[in-house]
Amino acid sequence: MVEGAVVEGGTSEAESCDVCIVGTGAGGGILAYELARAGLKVVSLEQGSLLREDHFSHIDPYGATKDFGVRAHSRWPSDPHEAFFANRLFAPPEHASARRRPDGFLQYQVFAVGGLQTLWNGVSLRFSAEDMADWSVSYDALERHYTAVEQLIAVCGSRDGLSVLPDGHYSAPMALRPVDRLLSEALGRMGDSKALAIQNRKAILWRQGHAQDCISNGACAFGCPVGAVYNFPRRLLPRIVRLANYRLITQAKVTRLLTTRGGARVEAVAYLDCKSRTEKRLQAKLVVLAAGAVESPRILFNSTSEAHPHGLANRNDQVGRRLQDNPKTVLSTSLWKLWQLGRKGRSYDIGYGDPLLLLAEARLPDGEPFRFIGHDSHLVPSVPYYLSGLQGFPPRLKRQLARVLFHSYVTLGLFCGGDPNPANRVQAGKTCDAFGVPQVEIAYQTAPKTQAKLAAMEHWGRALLRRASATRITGQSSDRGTGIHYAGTTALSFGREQGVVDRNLRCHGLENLFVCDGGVIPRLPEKHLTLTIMALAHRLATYLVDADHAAAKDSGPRSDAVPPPP
Amino acid sequence: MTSSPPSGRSQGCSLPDADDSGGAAEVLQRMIAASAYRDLLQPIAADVLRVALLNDQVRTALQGLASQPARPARQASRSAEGQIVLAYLEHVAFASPAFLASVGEWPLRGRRG
Repeated sequence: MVEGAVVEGGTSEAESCDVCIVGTGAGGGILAYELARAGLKVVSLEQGSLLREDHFSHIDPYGATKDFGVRAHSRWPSDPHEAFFANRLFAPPEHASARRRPDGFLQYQVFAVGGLQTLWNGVSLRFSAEDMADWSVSYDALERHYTAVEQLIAVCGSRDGLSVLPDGHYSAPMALRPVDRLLSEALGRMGDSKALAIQNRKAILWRQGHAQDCISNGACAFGCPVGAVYNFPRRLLPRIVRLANYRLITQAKVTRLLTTRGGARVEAVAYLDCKSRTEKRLQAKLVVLAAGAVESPRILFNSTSEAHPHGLANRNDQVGRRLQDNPKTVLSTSLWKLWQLGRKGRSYDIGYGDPLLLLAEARLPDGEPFRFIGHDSHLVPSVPYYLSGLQGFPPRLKRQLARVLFHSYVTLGLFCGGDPNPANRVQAGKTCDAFGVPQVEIAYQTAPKTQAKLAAMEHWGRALLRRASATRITGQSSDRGTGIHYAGTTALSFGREQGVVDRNLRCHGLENLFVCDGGVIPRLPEKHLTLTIMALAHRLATYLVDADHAAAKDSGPRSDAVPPPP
Repeated sequence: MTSSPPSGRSQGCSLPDADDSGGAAEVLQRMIAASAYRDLLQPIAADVLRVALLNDQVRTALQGLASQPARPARQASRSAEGQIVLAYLEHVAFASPAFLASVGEWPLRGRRG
C-alpha cells in the first residue's frame, strides 16, 4: 500500500513549492517522479483519489470472478467494447470537464491517481521522424527520452527495423497465440505488400520474477489486478511518496491559475478541496498542467484576468483548437478455425491480450494513401457478452454453441491519424459541473475525409477477418472520443500564432507555465500517443532540472532554486 | 487473481425474506425453477438472488413482477420485466462456475503457456 505524503484535499496552511504538477496520468506521473528524485520540492494535485491496491482484484475485477461480472449498473445485452465504456471509473457527465451533447464528441476521463492511464492497455509505440516532421520538437531531440521512459516503465516487444515505427528498448515479448497466428497468416494471404504483422510493444512486466508480473487475464484495459501494466500509482509513486520534498494532494480540483499583476507569471494555483468544498491556494515557482487535452484547456479558459481576458495563454485564440482523437474501427467476430479449441480446452497462454500489432496502409477514393495500425483483443469470455450473437437459438443449442465457440472470439481495433482541424475545438462553456466550476464545450465535426478513412479501415478489417475464418462480423467506427487519445488543444508550435506551447512545452508569453499532456501533440499520427506524452514529460523534467541546477550554481542554496527557465 | 464461487455463502437456496426483497426473491425462485438453465442456477441460487438485488435493472424488474398478481413463471417471463430477468438468468448461467468448468476455465486464473 502506498503511504507517506498523500494528503486528501490539502491542508489549511499556506503551501508553496518549486513545481506544482496538475494531474497524475501519463505526463504528470513521469514528471513528478523525475523532479522529486532530482530534489525539487514538488506537489502533485489530483482531482480523484488513490484507488485501493485491490481495486482491480477484489473491488471491481474483470470477468466473472465477482458477482458473475454483474455490477449495479450492468445492462443486457452488451459486448466487451460497450462494457469497457461502462467502467464506473469514467467520470459522470456532471463531473466531467465538458458537458456531453447527444451525437457530440464523447470525452472520457478518470478521476483517480493515475488518471486515464489507470485503464491503459500498455501499448507503447514511438512516433517516427516523419510523424514529427512539422513539430517544433524533432524525433532526434526526443529519442533519448523515449529510451529512458521505456527503461523506466519496462516495455516488451521486438525490434523490427522499421522507419515508420522506430525500435526502442525492449524485453522479450510474449508468444503469439493461435488467434494471432491466424490473423498473421490471413494478412499474408491478402497479398498486401504495405501491411505487416509484428509483435506488439507493451509496458507490461512478465516473467521477471516480480510480484507484479502479468497473470495473463488478457484484459489489460479493464484495469490490471496485479499492476503488471505500468501506471504511476503502482510503479513510481511508491518510490517517491516518502521523500520529504514530494507531496501528492488528492481530491484537489484545480479551478484556476492566478497570475501576477502584469500577467507574465503564474504565482499560485487555486484548487477546490472536493471533500470540504473550500478553495485553497498553492504557491508555485513553476506550474505544469498535465490534466489532459480537455481539462488543461478548461483550466486555462477559467483563469481569466485583466491581463488575460480570454483565458491564460490564449492571446492568439489558439487554446482548445485542433482537438483530435484517433478515428477508430472496432470489429468483432468468432473465427471458425478456433472452434475446435472449445472441445479440446485451451492449451495456450492468453497472455496480455493483444500481442500482435498490425501496420497497414489504405487509399482514399481519390487515391491518397493513409496509414493505420491495429491490434486484436482475445480473452477468456467468462462474462458472456457473446450471448447477444446467439439470440434466436433455443437454450439447449445455445449451450452447445457457447461451448464450441467459447475460445474463438476476437475483436480487432484499427486506428488512423487524427484531423488537426482548427474548427474542432474545446471552448469556454456556459454550464458548470457539480462543484460549480465552469465546464468547456466541444465543437466537433467529422470531416468527409475522416469518414472515408473509417470506411476504408472497416473494409480492410472485414477482409482480413474473413480470410482468418470470420463468421458474423459486428462493428462500429467513430472519431468522436472513443479512441480516448485526445490531442492537439495546447499544441507545440514554433510561434504563438500557430499553437500554445513552445518547444520546451512552456506556454507562449508566460514565464513559468508549462503544459505536458496529449494536448501538446499538434498532429496525431496513427500510433497511440501515451509513450510520446511520457517521453515529452521526461524531456521537460530534464529541462527543468537542468535549469534548476544552473540557477543553483549561480545563486547558491537550492531552496531558492528553479527560476524561470531561460 | 484467485477464483472462488461468487460469494462465500453456503451453496443452495437460502433466500432473504426482508420486506422489500421477499416478493422479488419468490419471483426469482419461481423463474429459476422454470428456467432451462436451472441445473446451472439452482446450486448457486443464493448468489443469483444476491446479485439480482444489487443490479438496478434486475431489482426494479423483479420488484415490478412481485407487485403484480401472482402468475405462473412462464407467463411472467413474457412481460418486458420478465425478459430482463430471463436475460439476467441466462447471463449468470453462462458465467457460472459449472458452465465455465465445462469449457476448462474454472477456477478463473491466469495460465502460462
